[in-house]
Amino acid sequence: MSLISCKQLSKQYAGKTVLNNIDIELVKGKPIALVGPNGAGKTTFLSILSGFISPSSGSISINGQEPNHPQNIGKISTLPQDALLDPHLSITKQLTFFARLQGFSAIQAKDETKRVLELVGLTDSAQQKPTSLSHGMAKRVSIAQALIGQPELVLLDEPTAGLDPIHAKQVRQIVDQLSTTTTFIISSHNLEELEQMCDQVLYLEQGKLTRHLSLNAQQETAQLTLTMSDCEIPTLINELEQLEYVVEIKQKNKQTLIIEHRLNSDSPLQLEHTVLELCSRYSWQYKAIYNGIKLEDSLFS
Amino acid sequence: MKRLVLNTLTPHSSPHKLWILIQFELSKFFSTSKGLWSIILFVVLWGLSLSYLINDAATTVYDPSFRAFISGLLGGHRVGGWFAWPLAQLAVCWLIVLYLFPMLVIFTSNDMFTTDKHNKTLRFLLIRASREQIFFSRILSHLIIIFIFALVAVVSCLVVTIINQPDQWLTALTNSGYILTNVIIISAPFTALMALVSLAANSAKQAGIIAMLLLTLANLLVIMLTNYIPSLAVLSYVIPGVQLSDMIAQHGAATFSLSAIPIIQTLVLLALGNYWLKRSQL
Repeated sequence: MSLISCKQLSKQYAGKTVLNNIDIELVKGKPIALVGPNGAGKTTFLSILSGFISPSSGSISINGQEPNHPQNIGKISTLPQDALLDPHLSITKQLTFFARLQGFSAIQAKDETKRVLELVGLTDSAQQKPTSLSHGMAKRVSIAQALIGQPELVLLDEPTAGLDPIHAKQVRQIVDQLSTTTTFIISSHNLEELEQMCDQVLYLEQGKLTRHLSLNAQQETAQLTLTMSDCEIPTLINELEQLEYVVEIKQKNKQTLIIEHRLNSDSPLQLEHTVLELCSRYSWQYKAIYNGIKLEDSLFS
Repeated sequence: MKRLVLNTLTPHSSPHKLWILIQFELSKFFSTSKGLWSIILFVVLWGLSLSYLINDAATTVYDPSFRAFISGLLGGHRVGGWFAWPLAQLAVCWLIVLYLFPMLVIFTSNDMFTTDKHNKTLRFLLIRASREQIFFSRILSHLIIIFIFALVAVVSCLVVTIINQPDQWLTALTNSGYILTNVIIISAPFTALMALVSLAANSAKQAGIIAMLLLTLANLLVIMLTNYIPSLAVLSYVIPGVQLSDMIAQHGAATFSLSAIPIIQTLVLLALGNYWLKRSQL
């Protein structure tokens, strides 16, 4: 059974269509990226999945039930964008309360609060009130509350926006660590980050789901992104075009080529070897050899 | 740290979850500045009432000039019933609580949902509890707060009454019970009204102002309409507190004779508030 099923899902606000006939089936598994320009409807989509708002038309089900169905309560967790914890009460008190609502006993709830705060590196701030935290710390507390218990589905709306690089990395590690048991849907503008974490990409544009990509799907051809630093690109292209297994070469910019090639199971690194030999022969310098195509290029090239 | 797995735990039953929500709301109320201000306001108002009105009630109530003043204020037809209260202290207590507690409810419950809705704090709860559980837990916790205030008021009044008339302790105790129960009944529609208003308002202050305006305008509207079509006087039954002036004349068990009005009003307002929250985009 699919984890999430949307049929003709639409949402209008004051006559403006924010989501337009979304049809999608998602199963449990590796993290799913939700991308799209500002105003594309990402937060609205996540809000409908969380049960905060209801669709104007169409249907949505999680585990075969509506998001707000009692069977789903406690199984779906979310990092809501812009939601603030109660400013008057300590973080520990609020997270312990959330854990209790999810079924933990009073003692277990305290342990669970310690665990999730430890995960996001906020053990020392446990007794502080949300108003005394920086934006990044408040975001990490919100992430911590989303990790209470073992939800089947965690929706993270821009989880690393406003976080410093160390804590952003920590969040990525948490997602990676928990993704064996929990399905994450992550909305972000950081495509490199999503590429590291996710297996599938949903691309929303003006409320429509225009792309649904699988980043690790097995295909007959593969791509190699080659960025050179000191090289005669026309000569390089000419040399590569001679190779019978090269299907297509696209020049992304002055220094970067995207090379589509047929896979050879006997010699999986044949293209890489050839590129290095060419560098050696012509005394060229390469900057990066990336196995695959950047998400940014997949979506926008 | 060992990770606790949710599916190894037994999810709380609905009443248990409701109780967890109520406990949290109560601890939030009494640990925040709003709660503390409510306590201070209540203690000051009730302390003054107890010292200057209730404690001296035995001499005041039978004073002819006071009787004349009250007759003018409440209307002669009601005064007779009020003077029939068996104990003067409780008669004064009855008069005060009838009007103090609805105002107290408006003050203490004006932020039942407003700030949490505005800050989207409710979203953290919505993934863990149903909208009905959230709605009714807040109603119940605010009624418990009012019960605590009412208990303090009635018990202090009972003590003063027994000190002044120790031989009447049983009568005082019975009538105190009537007052306490009535306070909860008359406060209930105001609590339900504040839940509804605080869902619609953008701030706690605005919720308080809207509630006061609604009550005032509704009363004025009914008076105006009744002038043209007297049968429309029936509309006044939708206004919380409509029965209060008639309740002054009641005493003893008869104080419950008008309880159906606030109970029905509460049920209607609760249904409206619950429907509103269910339909709200949070």
